[in-house]
Amino acid sequence: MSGERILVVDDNGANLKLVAFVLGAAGFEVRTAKSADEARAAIAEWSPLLVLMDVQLPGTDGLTLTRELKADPRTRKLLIVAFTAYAMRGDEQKALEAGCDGYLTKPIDTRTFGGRVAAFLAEHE
Amino acid sequence: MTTDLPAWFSAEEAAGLPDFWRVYEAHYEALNESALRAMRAEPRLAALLATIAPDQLKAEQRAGRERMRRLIKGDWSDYQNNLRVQGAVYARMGISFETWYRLVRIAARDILPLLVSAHANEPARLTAALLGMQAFFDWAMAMLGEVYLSTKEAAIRASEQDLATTLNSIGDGVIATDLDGRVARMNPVAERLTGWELTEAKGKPLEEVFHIVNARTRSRVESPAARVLREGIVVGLANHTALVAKDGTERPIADSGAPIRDEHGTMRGVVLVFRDQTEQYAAEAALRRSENRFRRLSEAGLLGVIETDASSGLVEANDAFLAMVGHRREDLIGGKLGGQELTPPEWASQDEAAREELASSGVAHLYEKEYLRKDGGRVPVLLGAAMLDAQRSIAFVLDISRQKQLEGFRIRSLQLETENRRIQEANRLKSEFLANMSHELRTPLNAIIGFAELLHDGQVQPETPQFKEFLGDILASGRHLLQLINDVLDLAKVEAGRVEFHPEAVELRKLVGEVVAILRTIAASKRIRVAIDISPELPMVHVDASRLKQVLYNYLSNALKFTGEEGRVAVRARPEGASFFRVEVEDTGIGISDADAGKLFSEFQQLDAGAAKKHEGTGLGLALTKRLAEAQGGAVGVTSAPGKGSTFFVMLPRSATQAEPMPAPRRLPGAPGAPSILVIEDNPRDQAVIVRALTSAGYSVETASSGAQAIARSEERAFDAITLDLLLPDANGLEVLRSIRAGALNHAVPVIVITVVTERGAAAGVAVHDVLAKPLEESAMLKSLERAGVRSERSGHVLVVDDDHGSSKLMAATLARLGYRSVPVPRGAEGLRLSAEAPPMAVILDLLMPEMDGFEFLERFRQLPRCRSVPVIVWTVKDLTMEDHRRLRSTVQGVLQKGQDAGAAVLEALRSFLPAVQEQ
Repeated sequence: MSGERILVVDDNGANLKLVAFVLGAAGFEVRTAKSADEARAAIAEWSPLLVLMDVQLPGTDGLTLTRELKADPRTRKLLIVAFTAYAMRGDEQKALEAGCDGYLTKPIDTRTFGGRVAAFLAEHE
Repeated sequence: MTTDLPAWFSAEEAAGLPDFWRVYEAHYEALNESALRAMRAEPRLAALLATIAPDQLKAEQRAGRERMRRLIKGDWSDYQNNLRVQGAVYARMGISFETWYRLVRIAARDILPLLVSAHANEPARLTAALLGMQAFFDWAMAMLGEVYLSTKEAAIRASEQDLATTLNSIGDGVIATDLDGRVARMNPVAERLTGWELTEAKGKPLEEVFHIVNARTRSRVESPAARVLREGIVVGLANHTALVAKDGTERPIADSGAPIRDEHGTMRGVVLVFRDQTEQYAAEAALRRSENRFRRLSEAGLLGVIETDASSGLVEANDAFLAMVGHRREDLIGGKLGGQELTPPEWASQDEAAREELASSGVAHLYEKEYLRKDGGRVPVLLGAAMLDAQRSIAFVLDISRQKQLEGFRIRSLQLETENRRIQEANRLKSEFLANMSHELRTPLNAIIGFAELLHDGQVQPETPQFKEFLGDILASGRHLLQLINDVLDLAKVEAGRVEFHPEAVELRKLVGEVVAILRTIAASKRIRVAIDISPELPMVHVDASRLKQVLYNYLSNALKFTGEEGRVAVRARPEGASFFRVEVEDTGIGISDADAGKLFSEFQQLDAGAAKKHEGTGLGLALTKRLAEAQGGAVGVTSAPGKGSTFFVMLPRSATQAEPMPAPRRLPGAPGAPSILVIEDNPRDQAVIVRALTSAGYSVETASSGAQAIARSEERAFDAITLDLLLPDANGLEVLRSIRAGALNHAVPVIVITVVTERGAAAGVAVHDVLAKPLEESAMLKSLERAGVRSERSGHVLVVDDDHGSSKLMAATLARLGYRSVPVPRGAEGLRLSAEAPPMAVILDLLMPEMDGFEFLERFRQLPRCRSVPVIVWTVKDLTMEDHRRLRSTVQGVLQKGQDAGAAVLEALRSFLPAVQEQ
């Protein structure tokens, strides 16, 4: 937990705020984006280590963006975790097939969230 | 030979004769001697003399003398007899007795008296004269004989020549033999067939030249000439006789031999006439084979075969046909039961058409019909006929019960497939919706729980501004969630028909004002002006207030969302006819295209999933609005154009009636360019009847089940005609009509009133095109429409894309039989070109074609304007793989196999796809 850069992408403002707060409290450096476009810009400019991506975004959805990023050699190394409220059968599969490195469901547990993200990062060092 | 001879001498002359003869007798010997001497001196006479034997000469002289004696006595009979005998000889030589007699008479009459007088004076001269006369006779005879002979010879030669020419011209072989059976004559055909030339064959025995064997047993056959010569009768050859030519070639022949007889009837030889039967045999064999084929077919029970005579009706029917119709032969033959009695009346016109075709072209092409069986059942058949001659025709009847059954199954399975696709699509949409909803509901919960946790755990201190901020987020998310839950529950309730409305007296101005107030801040933040315009005629209405507010809120918030800064929104309310009122919300926002407008009010389809999210709507608002309005007997609608803003309206009864939930209006588009009819009818059964009749006839149809819906529809587009029920649940039909006519789009539209009889008078005084009574007679309605000039061409046309000429023709004929016009094209490229100019009503598509196959055609076709939703039915021999099916599933409406699916299956498929599947 030493200031790794995490980009959180979600079109819901309240969610963004919540997640950003929790991760920030856990010691990460956090930026937010509300759409795929904003996310691309942030990734290009800021080079985060991890992207927490809500799958339902306006315009280009999260999974499409994931595929895009994983296909691009410049961004292939990016860790992407799908962040979704779907929780329906097959959603996890879809996310992993699209190239996500992990999968998280909302609503988050604020108490354990930071820890889980850190553990994930440790695993994928 | 005549027996009356003219008198040689007159009476006077006769008187002097006895003297002459006495003198002649006295000198007879001497006369004879000198005559002989003179004859011997004359070469020709000498030759003649030489042929007579001396004793014969003597005998002749004695006889002559005897004759003389009698003559002297005056007995001429002997002499005349002699003349007769001689004359007979000359006659056989062709010199008639008359000629000879006259000649002799001339000599006797004219010369003899001279001789008599000469004798009286000069005996020597008499001798000479006699000799001369004799010589003259003989010479004359010889001359005549020669002439006769040469004429005869010439005649014989000429007739020989004729004979030869004739013989040579005969197409059959001719061989003539003499009495010994040797070849005397052959014509060229005989030479060719036997391989012998006349020069070699002449004189040879017939058997050597005319070598015949029994083709089967290979044993020699007796030459017919032998038999003819033996029995003198005409003889023919048995079958299977073959002629073996000189070179060994064998040919089957037919022949006959006859005796050659002369004019006495004596046989002179045999004439044999024969011909090569090879071709004949081959033709007969072929005929037997084809007859056999036919008989096998007819007997095999595969095909019913019947023969009909123009005057006596059915004359023959094979067992297979009898089995098909369950009758006995005796019942049918002889005109007791004919084709007409066996055919159910609805097929009579087909039969008639076939009879005409038969009469004019000699062939009636295959067509389907049914026969009535004896047991009362029916058998579906395929029938084709041809004229045998002027009177008789023959028909082939194929029982297609099994095919029909299979067709039935196939059609059913097609229908099920379509149904299935629809259900699957609906399910898919529902799943999508549920997924969306799930996400929507969890998202605010995430914020609520999350922030609550933070605050609860002391992550954020109470005094900090962040604390309050987070509390606010909890609140906002909670409220949002509540709204969502309410919407979803509402929708569920409406769908289940469980919504209860609570109408009350509502002052519109106040209600509208309240809704606008709620949204004031949003409007203000975008600096959008909201204008309110309530018609003074409409102060109070009797409706469910909260639901109306819900609808208005939905419209207004949408309007505000989709209108840019500095835009304008207007809320208007005014009366609609006597029974309704309408509220409109007009904005200057981005507008909506026609295509999207259709989807707006559907709950499972969102314009753009992203856009809805962007503006944080639930995506359910409009769907709910529609349901709520319709459930109250009202209607909703929208008019808009991209870039030009939108006007959403809702129409409700001024005084709420607790009506049954009304069927939703439907839209059934017909062919591109088909005239559109608005059907206003609340009874679902009646509506279905009218709709079905119109869509089958090729019209485009929209339905309205209430006055409100009708008025709403009439404002959205201009119709070509309207059918109107007078008894509507929420209003009087005529009132509705007035409202419709008051609008710009349909003020002159022809209206056909369809109503129960007692109401007919009620339409008097109002301008309607026609009034028809229920129950509706379809043809009456269709005719009425035609009279109004609203004609639907049962085409455009059906485009038939197939490179196989036979298939194309068959399809065109099948389509034509049921009133569709077809345009066949052999290549995809041409089909595309034509479709770009004029989109077809439907396409029948073959897959395997050169240059451009069906798949490629399909892809390009769907990209053409107005062709995206044209029904396409693939009709192919290709065995489709899973991959093929996948490719086709999303773009074609049906797939049929050539050969398996007869024309009727295709037509059923077409019927279910025309009009297009989309019902909106």
